[in-house]
Amino acid sequence: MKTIIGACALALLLNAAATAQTALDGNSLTWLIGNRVAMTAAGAKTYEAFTGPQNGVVTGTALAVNGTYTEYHKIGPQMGGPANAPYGLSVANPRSNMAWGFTPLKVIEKDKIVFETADGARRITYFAEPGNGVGAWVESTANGATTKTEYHFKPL
Amino acid sequence: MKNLIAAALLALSLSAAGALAQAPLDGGSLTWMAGNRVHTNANGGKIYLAFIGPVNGVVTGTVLTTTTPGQTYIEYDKLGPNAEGKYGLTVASTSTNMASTFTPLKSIEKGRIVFESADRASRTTYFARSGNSVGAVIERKANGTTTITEYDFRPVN
Repeated sequence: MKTIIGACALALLLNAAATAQTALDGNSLTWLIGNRVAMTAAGAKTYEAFTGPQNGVVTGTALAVNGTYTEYHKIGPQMGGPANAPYGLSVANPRSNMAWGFTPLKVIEKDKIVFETADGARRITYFAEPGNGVGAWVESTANGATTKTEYHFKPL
Repeated sequence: MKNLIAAALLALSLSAAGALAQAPLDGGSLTWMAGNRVHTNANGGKIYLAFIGPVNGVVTGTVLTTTTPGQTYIEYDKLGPNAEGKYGLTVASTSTNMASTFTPLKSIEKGRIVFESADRASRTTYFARSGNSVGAVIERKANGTTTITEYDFRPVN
């Protein structure tokens, strides 16, 4: 009986160790780093660069619409937030008049990070693609309808 | 004699046209800036810098580093026209609580761009280095003293 209990305890410990390994943070986002470009079917290009991670933080910038659209990103504690600000995606762009919007982190997995608003109305997913590419999904739900925009960023 | 004068005029004309065609660079020439790079401080601390573009003469960038343990310095850059259409360097950083500052363009040369404030108290220079590296020199004048900070951003492997 003691042997069985000991074996169970060991299995639980090993399981806990495995859990510790899968708990990723912002420092695992090395796959996101790089300069890339995505092209729409119409040939319009969106350039994007991410740098870091430093201290669990990644920053980025995007450039599109013939240079008239500039966007800035921070993946880390909320931009302008308090000392223990929640971790997530802060974005400033011309649509917000360069004011910072924030979407909390939902999950970090190996080669994938997901941000989602508390009401589930907006979800942003970045994930590694073959050849050092990065995919991005932007999903917005309103009036029961979900709009999904996909980007496939290829290395420059 | 007429032939000599005509030849001299032609030579001058070609020289001027060639010089004019080569000299006036704009933001579209900043391809050497694009890339993902890192500067290493003497103490081993790293400063990451990424620039993308140019797109229609515009380049954007971001800088990321750790200051004190647990604190990050973040900066966002735009090389391009400001709201008034004047070309220059717009910078927002955690040092200014993300408020933007604008420094007008002073010059663009091959592999080099310089921004300088109207009072000349602030000058920022980026320049191409060998191996796809980018150098940066930040000069600040205050109370008769000039502080120069130099960076050597090398490609991230």
